[in-house]
Amino acid sequence: MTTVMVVEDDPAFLTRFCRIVASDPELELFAAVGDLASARQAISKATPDVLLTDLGLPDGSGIDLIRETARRHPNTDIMVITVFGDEDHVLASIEAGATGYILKDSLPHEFVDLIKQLRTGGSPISPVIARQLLKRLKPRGIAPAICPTEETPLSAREAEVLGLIAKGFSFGEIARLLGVSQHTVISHVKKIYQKLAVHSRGEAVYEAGKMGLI
Amino acid sequence: MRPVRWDSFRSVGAMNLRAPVRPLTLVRLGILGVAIAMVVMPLPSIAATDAPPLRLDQADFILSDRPEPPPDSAAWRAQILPDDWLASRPGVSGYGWYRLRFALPGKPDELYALHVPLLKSVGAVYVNGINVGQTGIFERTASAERLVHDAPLLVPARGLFANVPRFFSIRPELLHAGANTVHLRLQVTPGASGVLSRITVGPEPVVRSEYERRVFVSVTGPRMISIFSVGFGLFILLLWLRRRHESMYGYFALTALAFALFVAGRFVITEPPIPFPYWGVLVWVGLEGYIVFMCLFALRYAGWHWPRLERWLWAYLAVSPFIDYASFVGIGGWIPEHWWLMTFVLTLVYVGFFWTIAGQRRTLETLGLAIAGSVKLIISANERLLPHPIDLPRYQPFAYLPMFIVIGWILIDRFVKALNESEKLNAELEQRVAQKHAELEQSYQRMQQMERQQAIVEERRRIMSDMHDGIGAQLISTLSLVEHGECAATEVAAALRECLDDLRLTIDSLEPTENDLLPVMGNLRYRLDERLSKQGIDLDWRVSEVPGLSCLTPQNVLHILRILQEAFTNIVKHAHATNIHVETGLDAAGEHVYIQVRDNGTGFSSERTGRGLASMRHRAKLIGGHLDIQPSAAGTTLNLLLPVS
Repeated sequence: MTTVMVVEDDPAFLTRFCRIVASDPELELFAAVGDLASARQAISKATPDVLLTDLGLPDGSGIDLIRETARRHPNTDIMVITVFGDEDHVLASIEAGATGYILKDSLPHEFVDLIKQLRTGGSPISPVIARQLLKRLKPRGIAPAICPTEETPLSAREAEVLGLIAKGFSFGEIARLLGVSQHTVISHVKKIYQKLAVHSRGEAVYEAGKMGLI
Repeated sequence: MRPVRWDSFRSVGAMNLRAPVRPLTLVRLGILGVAIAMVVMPLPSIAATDAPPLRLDQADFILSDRPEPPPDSAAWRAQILPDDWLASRPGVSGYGWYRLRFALPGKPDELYALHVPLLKSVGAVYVNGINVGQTGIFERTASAERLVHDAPLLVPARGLFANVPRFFSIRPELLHAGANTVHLRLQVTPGASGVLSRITVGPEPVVRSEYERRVFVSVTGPRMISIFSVGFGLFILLLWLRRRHESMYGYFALTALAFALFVAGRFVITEPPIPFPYWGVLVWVGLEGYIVFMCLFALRYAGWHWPRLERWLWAYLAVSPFIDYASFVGIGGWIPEHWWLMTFVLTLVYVGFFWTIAGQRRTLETLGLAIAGSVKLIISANERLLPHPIDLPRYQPFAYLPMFIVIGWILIDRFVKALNESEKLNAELEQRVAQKHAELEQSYQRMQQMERQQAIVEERRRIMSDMHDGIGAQLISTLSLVEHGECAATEVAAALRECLDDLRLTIDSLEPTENDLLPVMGNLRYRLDERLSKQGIDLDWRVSEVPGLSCLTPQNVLHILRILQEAFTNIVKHAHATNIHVETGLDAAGEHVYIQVRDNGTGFSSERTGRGLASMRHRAKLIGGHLDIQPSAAGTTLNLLLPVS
């Protein structure tokens, strides 16, 4: 069973979502809350397998929740709920530690599929996001002390996968083109997401160092 | 006809020698003081205990070939010193003896000395009958009362240029208490000059310091001045060669060089390198030259253009050598004899110029030039126009020093001013450049800001119009469906989903493309995939890299997206296709990038989709591209051509 927690201030969506989770035998609702404080309280006692959160909460930003959860519960998969899947929301969430995003108007089966895919190590990605990731994760003269083990945050294969995603190829097509399994492609994407989170932390450290904070 | 010789000018003064002109002595002393101060001569200190030296100007003279001093019984005649043979016995050559007497209070126990400031040509000195020294070598010729015009003209006038003072030491044992006698033998060769100046006798240190002062004024000073003039002249000449337009420097260089020639020829070189009259002419041209060039310098310095005067000056310089020659060889009469007066007139002219300039400009520089010119004028007038005993030192070589100092100072002043000026200009220029730079930066920023605002305005207009025609229209039609209660909930949901898709399309068009078509295509597919797979349509995605397209503005991206969306909608709704092939590439001509959408459906009749097609074509035209649709039994092929540049 996969426990799912959802944080969303729109009660209609919250109700709809709870119904979707309840209708699937493999999913279990961990908590459904409408604000940041309740969410914090909920995860202070136990941790869900999957956390879905909106960004615009009445008492704060979902980004903070993502960041805290990612740090304290690394085993929890975090997804951000977004209307458009636009880069600003999604990239900020990924930088904070989310490994996927979900469109608010997704059909019930899409919700379920995405949550399950995430649990098996796959992250959804759009061409726009892939393109942004390619741009951000290219080496930009970051000090070696911050990225001691890798010159480029992205491996050649990861960059290739991102490039193909950006051109609109599906995971299945990419798997065929690269001669690997679809699962491998999907797990590449999750790894890339994690790299962006690490990368942005590294950049934060780098910036802080530049400003003389550390 | 009286012969005119080298020293004829000087003889003007010499002939008036015995007419004492007292008031002039004061003036002369003043000038001497100035001249000596100018020269900055180190004066040897004189011991206070030394007895003052005796100055002898009373002598006896006899013309005699005897190699030993003639006895007192010989026919001595009284002679006042200085004695210039040209004045006292013109035309005479041969050996002459002078006898001078002086008294000492007691027999001296220190070294004595005898100083002869001027002695021409060869002489020997005897003290109480004992030879104490000799200058040069006596020639074996007999004395003769011979007129010079009988002598060959081109004999080098030896000794003419010798202004060397002579110094003879006298051992104390040669001197007695009471009366002592000095005999001096002088040889004057035909054509040469014979001069004996007044003589100083006294303790050696006193006499030596007087002798050394005289050596400096008559020998060392002129040598230094002539060398300095040559160097200074060449320096200014080089300066002028680099700045040809400033001809005043050229004239000044010529002045200095001509002056150097004159001083060297007149006061320094004792053995002329070329025969006498020509050498004399050359040296005299030096004199006339430097005065003419000084006039030209003054004219240039003032910036006056008087071509007629300049022509006269050049004419004077051109004529002078001939008249000088006539004067030296003794032909032509009054004019050649007094031609040298012209140099004085011209000196007056340029000094007058300098004072005029000084009066007009009233600057330190012009005043300096006027004063320096006046110093030269006074020294020349003193030595050339007024009676001047032949054995007094001549300060003419030093006459131009003030001028050189002033002009050197002017040059340095100008150089420094020019340097300062250029530095100041540079600084100003830099400042101006920086200012312009800042202004440019500012206007650039303003422009950028305006552009940004313009872009925002345009973008807003675009989005507004898009919302109005797209999602707005769709929402209104959905709303009316719901209000009339004519449709099921699923239909409303489908209509609303379409609205959302349309909104996403608009958002995608805002994505920066960086002229790359493939992300646009990729996103389109991402949006369509779900719908196509639900309809059971396979998508054959064959996009490949294409050149950058500058037409991919947000507006045009939206046009492309709408064209393709319409195409896909047509296929899904009407074509009954099972497969859609999407391909991008560059056409054969390399002018267009094509997007091809091919389906295997049954095609669609244009009546039903006519309005949609017209809209697609219109959008293609707005991009500057072209839409081509080929229906066939095996399916429909759509080609959207986009311009590469």
